[in-house]
Amino acid sequence: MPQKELLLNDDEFYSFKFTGGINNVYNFITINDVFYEVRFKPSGYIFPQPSVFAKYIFEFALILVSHPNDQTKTPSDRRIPKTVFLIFLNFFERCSDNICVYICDSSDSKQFVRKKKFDQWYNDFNTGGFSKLDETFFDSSGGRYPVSVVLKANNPFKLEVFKAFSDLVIRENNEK
Amino acid sequence: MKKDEHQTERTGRIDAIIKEWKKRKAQDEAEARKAFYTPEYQEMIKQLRNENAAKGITIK
Repeated sequence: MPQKELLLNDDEFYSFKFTGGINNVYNFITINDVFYEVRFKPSGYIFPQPSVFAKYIFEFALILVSHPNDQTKTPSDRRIPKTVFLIFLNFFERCSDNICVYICDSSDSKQFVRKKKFDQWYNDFNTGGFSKLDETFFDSSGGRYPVSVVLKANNPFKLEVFKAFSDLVIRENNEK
Repeated sequence: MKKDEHQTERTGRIDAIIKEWKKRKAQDEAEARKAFYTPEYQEMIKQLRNENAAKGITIK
């Protein structure tokens, strides 16, 4: 796959383990002893259940599980994006029809920082094998949540998924 | 006041999605942090550190 050509040396990314389960859990630990969990959670609830692709929808989550001394600020780490990208590849290799949804956490008002970082990772590593659609959810309390849908460029449900996602956003966000 | 035609289209779906997303996010974080302290996870962490070290990546 062309994406793998970007990952040159073993020491440029962390080893990770797929522990599986219903939430497709992956784990890795960094040089700063920060322990992360990546999840791809079945998330058919985002789209109407009758959709044929609902079973392929998974929400991506990157969870900082443990940090030495419980520090909240983590140092910049160039290996993390590559590790996460490898995990993405691994997940899509398990089923190429998978569809990944990323809703940026807004609890600390840094959702657009996360969005920018996610976009940078995507742009750095995607050499054409994936497609992405970006939107923003607006909830009734004024919250804004950047959302991205990522799937393989040749996903057979690609047009249906993007249309359903766009329709959802247009219908709901325009009601303000 | 009578709702206009556009307002009647409201389904509250995004509110429902965000509500569910927040609930699941809190559950995920709690689960992950609980699992971290189990012997299985501590063993996995040890293995991951060893694998990193074999590649020349060691904890600072």
